[in-house]
Amino acid sequence: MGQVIVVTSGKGGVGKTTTTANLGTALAQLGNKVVLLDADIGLRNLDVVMGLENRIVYDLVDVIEGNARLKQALIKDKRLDTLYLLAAAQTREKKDVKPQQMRELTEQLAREFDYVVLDCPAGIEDGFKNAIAGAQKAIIVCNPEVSSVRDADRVIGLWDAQPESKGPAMLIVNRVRPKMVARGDMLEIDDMLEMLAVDLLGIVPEDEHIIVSTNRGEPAVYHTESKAGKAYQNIARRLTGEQVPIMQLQDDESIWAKFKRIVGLSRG
Amino acid sequence: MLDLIAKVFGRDSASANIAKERLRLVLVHDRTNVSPHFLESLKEDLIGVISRYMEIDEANMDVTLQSTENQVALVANIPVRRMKRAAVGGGR
Amino acid sequence: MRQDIVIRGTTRTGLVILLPDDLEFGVLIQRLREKLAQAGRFFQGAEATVQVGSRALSASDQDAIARILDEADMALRTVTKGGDPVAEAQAALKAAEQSRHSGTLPAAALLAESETAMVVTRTLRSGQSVRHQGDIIVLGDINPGAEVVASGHIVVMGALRGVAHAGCTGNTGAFVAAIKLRPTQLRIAHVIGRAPDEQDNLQTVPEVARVRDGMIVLETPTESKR
Repeated sequence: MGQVIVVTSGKGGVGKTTTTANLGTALAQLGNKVVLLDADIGLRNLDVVMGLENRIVYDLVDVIEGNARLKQALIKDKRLDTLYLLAAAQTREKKDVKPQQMRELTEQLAREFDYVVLDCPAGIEDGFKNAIAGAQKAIIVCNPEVSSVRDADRVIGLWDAQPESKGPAMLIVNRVRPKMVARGDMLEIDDMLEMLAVDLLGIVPEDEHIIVSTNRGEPAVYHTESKAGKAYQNIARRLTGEQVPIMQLQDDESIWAKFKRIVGLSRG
Repeated sequence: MLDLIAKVFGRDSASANIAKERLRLVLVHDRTNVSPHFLESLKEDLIGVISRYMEIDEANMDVTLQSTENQVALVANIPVRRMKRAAVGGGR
Repeated sequence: MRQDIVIRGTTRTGLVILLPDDLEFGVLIQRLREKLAQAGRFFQGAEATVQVGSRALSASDQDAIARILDEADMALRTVTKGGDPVAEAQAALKAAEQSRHSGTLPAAALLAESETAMVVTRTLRSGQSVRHQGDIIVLGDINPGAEVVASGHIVVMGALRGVAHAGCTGNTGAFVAAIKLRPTQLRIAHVIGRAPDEQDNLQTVPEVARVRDGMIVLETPTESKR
């Protein structure tokens, strides 16, 4: 059985879709069989970030409603043979899907794939409930900003409150600007971890490559010079159980040196 | 410009500290808002501990979280009926 | 002589299901069920008139038809007898075709053709979708994430950047035309085409997409005449 991981945040615009695309691609690069599932029905984007938007014939809702078989709806990635996408329906609504249906779908996918990575919609309503229903692990994406940390806290609370016993929430701090951290104008990751009381899965620096790669529809992990891409590759390796130290960014060694001691992921 | 002067004179704390402080308060508020039964179980635990030392009027006790502009306080009003002898003696 | 069930929609009569006279009722019912299943969600919520030609239907036969429509989430409006409006329309079309070659266009024939078209006078944005039994004309753009599905042709007087599906009930002769044809994906009947990953030498003239030899090809309107 593969792992079902949901990428969520509460707040919108923090980088859930980018994280899903890069993490999924990096996991597939490591030789895993991976399926990315866009749970943002009505506002799909993962297809565009992956550059697969013109290959969608059937989507998640088609599979759930029985209009298409799962095999028909899985879209193979352009570059990697072991990477697939199940797109969200664009002309439907979140309430067209029920948590139980998502649970069954993810279970079915986990039988064939090593990793099922769900891109969760922003918010904590129906779409969120659907996305977390079948997941065993949660990756919380958070920016070093008050509003984002607050929403992350809310989402971690909802994740922990589920009746089933699931893995602990893991935090990715995204869009970190080392220079601002050094200047004391950006929330420190230590402080965020202390307040949220979660394990750190990784830190991803702000990186212009992300915008370029989104424009092109090819995840940043393909670009060796992209720091964010490198960070996502490290995160993928941590997910597979490897011990990888948190990346040091050249901008300020001393600040980043602190993060080395941060929790390992053996729990995961 | 004012920011710069403030920094030179060391009066202003960096915005990360401001963010951290605000965030701490917001999270305390958010988390306490979540469950009324959180307070209820806190109250029960308090009764358990305090009863070891004194006899209290459980029916009239009141435990709330009060928040002001810059702090959140746990306010407990617990009427004491009688002190227990052992406690007054300073040991059990 | 009609051998198969025909489903047809006009703005005047609504959705009409024509049942051929020469099929045994049991077979007919089975075919109808298959046909509606093939159409998927397309007819969902539609109200249909069933036209039976010269066949006499008992009350229980009518119930059986109503049940099948109900299974497909459709409602039965009425059952009518009599002539075949499709054959009549086709005859009119043929007449129009012939007179076009001879240089004159009778107004009546034009009416018969255009009566099945739906005109959309706005831009369709992401998440919006238009479905119609017949042709669709859009006076505006179709943005990425929007979709237009028609059993007939699709003509876009603007940019087509989303998904268009013409001839969705199986008509491979249907076409998709747009002033600026840049679709995410094109479907004609059961044929699916998508834009190449590297898009260069993009046409700046209006184009028509048709099925030729089982593939969707793009042509200029002049090339496409045949």
